[in-house]
Amino acid sequence: MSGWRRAARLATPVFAVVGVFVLWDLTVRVFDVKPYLVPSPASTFQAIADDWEILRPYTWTTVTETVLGFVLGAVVGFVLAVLMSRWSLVQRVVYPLLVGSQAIPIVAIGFPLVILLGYGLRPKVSIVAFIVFFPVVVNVLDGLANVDRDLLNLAKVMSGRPWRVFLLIELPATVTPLFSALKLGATYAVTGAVLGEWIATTTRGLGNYLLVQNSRLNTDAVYGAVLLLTAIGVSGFLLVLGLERLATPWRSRSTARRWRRRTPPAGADVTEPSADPAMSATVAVSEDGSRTEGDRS
Amino acid sequence: MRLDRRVPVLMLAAGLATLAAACGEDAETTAVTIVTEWSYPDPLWIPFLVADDQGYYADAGLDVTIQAPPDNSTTMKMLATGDAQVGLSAITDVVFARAEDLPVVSVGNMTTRNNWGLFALGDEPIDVGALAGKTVGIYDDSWTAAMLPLMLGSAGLTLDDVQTVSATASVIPLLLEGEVDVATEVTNLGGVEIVTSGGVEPQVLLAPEVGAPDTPVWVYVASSEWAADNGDLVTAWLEATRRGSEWAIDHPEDAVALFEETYPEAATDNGYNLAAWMATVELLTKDGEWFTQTDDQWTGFTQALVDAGQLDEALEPSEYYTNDYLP
Repeated sequence: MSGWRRAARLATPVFAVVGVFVLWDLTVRVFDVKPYLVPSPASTFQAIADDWEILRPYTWTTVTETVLGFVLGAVVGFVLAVLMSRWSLVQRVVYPLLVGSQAIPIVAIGFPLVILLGYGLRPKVSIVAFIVFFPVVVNVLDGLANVDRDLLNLAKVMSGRPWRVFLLIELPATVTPLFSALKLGATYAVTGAVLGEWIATTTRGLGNYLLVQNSRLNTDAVYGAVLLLTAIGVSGFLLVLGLERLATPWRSRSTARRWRRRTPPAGADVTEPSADPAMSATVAVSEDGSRTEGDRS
Repeated sequence: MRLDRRVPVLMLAAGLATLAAACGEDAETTAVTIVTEWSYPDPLWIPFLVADDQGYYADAGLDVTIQAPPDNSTTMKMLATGDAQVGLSAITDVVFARAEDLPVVSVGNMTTRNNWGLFALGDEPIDVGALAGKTVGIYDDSWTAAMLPLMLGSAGLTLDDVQTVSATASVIPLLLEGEVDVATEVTNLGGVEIVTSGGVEPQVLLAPEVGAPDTPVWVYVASSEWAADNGDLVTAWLEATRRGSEWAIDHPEDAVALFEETYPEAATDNGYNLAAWMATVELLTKDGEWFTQTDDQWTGFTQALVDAGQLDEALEPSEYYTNDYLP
């Protein structure tokens, strides 16, 4: 891809975001929307700047809750999905419970969570994890259920050990659905953190700030908090997107990345298998059947 | 036959008379939306329900709709945008609405005293000086932000000396479960909840007892633009609401039954609504007077907000309230 095309591709979403702000500003001006209903983008950014000393620790608290809850939810969801795929009895017992759990309004279980876990980070992290883990379980389970049967049969014929079959065939099959779930989770996680802050807390975050400013009719500051929460959600999404690109290079490139090799020291065994994660990824792709050995560079 | 010819004529005449009467009734009745102070029903709405049910609003030429806002800060916005004409609000909302130049005005006190304070379980009276290091359940609102520092300050403490636990729904369950040492609440809602849900009489220390201003918590409000053009209707609304309050004072069980019939989701089987209404009744009048506001109640409260860093500047009391529409 040429430099210009790459730049244009990267610039498109930036222009889209700028376009939203321009549209927002125009709407406020043209329709003379009262500032206590919808403030202008400029006054919203000004409110963030004016209150930044207060917002900074609050933002940090919300980010911490979001990240910890996200990681916990992803890990628990993944492990649960693997367990459920291994033992069908576990799946039959746990799956309906998981589906039912997602129908529970979080606010309704907020108070018991506070009683059980206290007012600190734990209830917020639990709520975020509760939101994130479900799409991870469902997607990973689907990925594991759709592993190429021929590959599994081949591994069986070749007497592949179960853990190696899992590592080399089943695990790679979960990567794509896992990242789809993680992208969903990354955007929902921040909402979970705010819900957690609204239940009962001693560790104040952007959710609490939003409530206080709302009670003061300080709409600029409310929108400022919303922008920061949006930024946290979008950043989380982009981070997962970046990780996905690193973990699944075949989805964004038609050819293998050419890694620059160091000249091997004299006498070194050049036939030794590489520990380079990119090479491992290439192996995984080859096992998916979409690439060949000749693709390695 | 002649009689038969008369029938359609008579029917037409009767129809026209009915239509004329209906049109006349419409011309005399003004549609008014009352926006409430809270997004879910509470016994403070009883005067509105009774006044409507007993026909006091109709007598006053008002066809009222009682509308809950999506959240308590939206009450003022609904008045400012004309989505409601009159309403009930916490006094803090009026102050902050005026700070943002919203066209709203307080037209009468609903309650007449500051019944907000600290609530605790046990036999020991609440000692503010002993709260250092203790947990205090609070709401994330400006009232608390103004009043709590004043109470703590009476014993030389600040917010940094206590651990505040902020809750959105209710702090009372936290108090009953022993998760906080003290809760901030009002006597007629949270205070009653402690008794009806917890079955215990709490220790109470009201804010004015330690020097906080004795500011009424709730006021009747109106769109200032609408009120300027419809002053008589505001007066008629207040009068009808007073009549509704008096009926509910005389018939509390019936009034609460009407409330629970109108809002079955708010019905309780532990007597909370009746107890809350009875506790509210004690706050409605002062020296037999209804509604009357004073400069002092507004200056005392707005200065407390300024001192607490919640408000940049206090406006003149006349910017917040008027007694011009009192019945």
